[in-house]
Amino acid sequence: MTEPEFDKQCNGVVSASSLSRAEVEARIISMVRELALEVGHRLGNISPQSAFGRDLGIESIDVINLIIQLESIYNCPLGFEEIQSHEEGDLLLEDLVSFVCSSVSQRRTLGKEGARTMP
Amino acid sequence: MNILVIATGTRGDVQPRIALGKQLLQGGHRVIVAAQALFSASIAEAGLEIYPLSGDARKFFAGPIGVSLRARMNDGKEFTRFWRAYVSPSVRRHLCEVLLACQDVDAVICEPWFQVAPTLRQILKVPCFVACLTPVPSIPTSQFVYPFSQRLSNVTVPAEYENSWSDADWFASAAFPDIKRWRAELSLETVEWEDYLKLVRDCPHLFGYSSHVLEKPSDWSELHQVTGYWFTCQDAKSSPSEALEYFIQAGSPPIVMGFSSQVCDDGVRIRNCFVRALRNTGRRGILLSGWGEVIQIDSKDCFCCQEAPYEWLLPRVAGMIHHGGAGSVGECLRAGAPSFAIPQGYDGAFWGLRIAALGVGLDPMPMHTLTESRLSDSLHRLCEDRVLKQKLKKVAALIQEETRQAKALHSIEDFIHNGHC
Repeated sequence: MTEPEFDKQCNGVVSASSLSRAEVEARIISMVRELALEVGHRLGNISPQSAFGRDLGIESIDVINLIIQLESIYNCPLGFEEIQSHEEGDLLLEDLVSFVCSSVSQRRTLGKEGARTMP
Repeated sequence: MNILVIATGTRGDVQPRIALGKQLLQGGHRVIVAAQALFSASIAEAGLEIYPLSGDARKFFAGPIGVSLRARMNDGKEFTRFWRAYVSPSVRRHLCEVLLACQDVDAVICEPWFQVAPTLRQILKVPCFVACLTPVPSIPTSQFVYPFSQRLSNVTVPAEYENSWSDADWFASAAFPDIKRWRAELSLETVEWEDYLKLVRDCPHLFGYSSHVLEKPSDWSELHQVTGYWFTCQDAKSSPSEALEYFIQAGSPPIVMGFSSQVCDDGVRIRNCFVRALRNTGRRGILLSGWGEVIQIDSKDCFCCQEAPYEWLLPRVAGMIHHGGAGSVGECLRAGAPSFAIPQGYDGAFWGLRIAALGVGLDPMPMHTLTESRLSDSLHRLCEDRVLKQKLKKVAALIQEETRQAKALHSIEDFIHNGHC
């Protein structure tokens, strides 16, 4: 079995080579705005230091659904359980950005190492 | 007795458990239903008490988490990873809440998916039952195929039935790591899955579907009983919506399409095919959006709404297209409404094939085979197939008689009386 090729762009999946922290942050902020719109509450400024629960009024099931969507956008297993065990209490937007960036880059390294061991 | 009914999951999981609770209430017991706020109106309507649980099943099952979980049913490894990553936190919160709900009760009716019954029985030292709406992965048989098998239509020979259950273990044990952690927090002894599974099977299981539809296999123990459907009473005379009642009365009986709490992966295409098939066959229809996206269709022959009580609706229609959910299938049979399934995962294909095999429904139509012309043909057959209607009439009578017997209530009372749990 080969690892999925991360440098290939397909079906709206974002390639890891072009992944920047700013892009991830912008994407999460736009998803949060869309979510807030659906739930029907007005959001003021969203900053990296915004807490999902306290500042943005987003329930944990919605955060879980957000992470699952990120999982398919970046084609990379993420996991709510893992991020929760890293960050006690209310999750900050920047924590999620860091988590996505590090998960995707680790996965990419793994993919390359995996590729190196291929005959 | 004070009996707690744990009612989690979709409408199809919760509604029959409320009906079971009502059966117990009518048997003279005090019944408390532990459920999410979403279902409090239905619980109050049945005259039962509610113990509120946190969470929102609609956000869960109709959101990315529920849809992704369902899509992973064909890959045990990925299902298990996904469960650990996203479902476990909700399960662990649920386990703590359920234990609080169980204070001062004399018996507990559990759900089958988290395998909570043996642990509750050990802590509370009261009878704990498992209420199932469909055969469950923890209790295999050699007499029918594993209902959650994703290769269902390939398993046609009885010799292959037993083998199909080899896929059941990872689904049965999905929440076991959560149970293990919960047991450790409660200072209970460590137990491995194989031993715990024996304890699970040792709890009485009640299956809320009809033995006229799926007989109890001879390799199940006396502890596992098929009791007949747990239906909401059919005596509700007032209509749930004036507009819907007006639509039904304004022409020939319509055909309903609705997938209840299951979100359809290809909803827009399916609904467009349905509307065109209605036009092709000169039929009228009702589209129930359920937990899917709300639908607006510009056609005087198709009425759209979110939901309608099946016990009221189905006796008034020409037929139904559902997702093969155990509850939807049961409601169609009780009402004598011809139906077929467009399966949306889980056990939908199982029940869809079952009613077709019994001749009380048409063959299920997998999504990828669905076209406007095939759907038109099926709508025509739903309305015109006389043999189907005759068989349905017989089964409907048997099911209504079975429902009157309230077997679940008697089973529960017998088990408690004889000290079998």
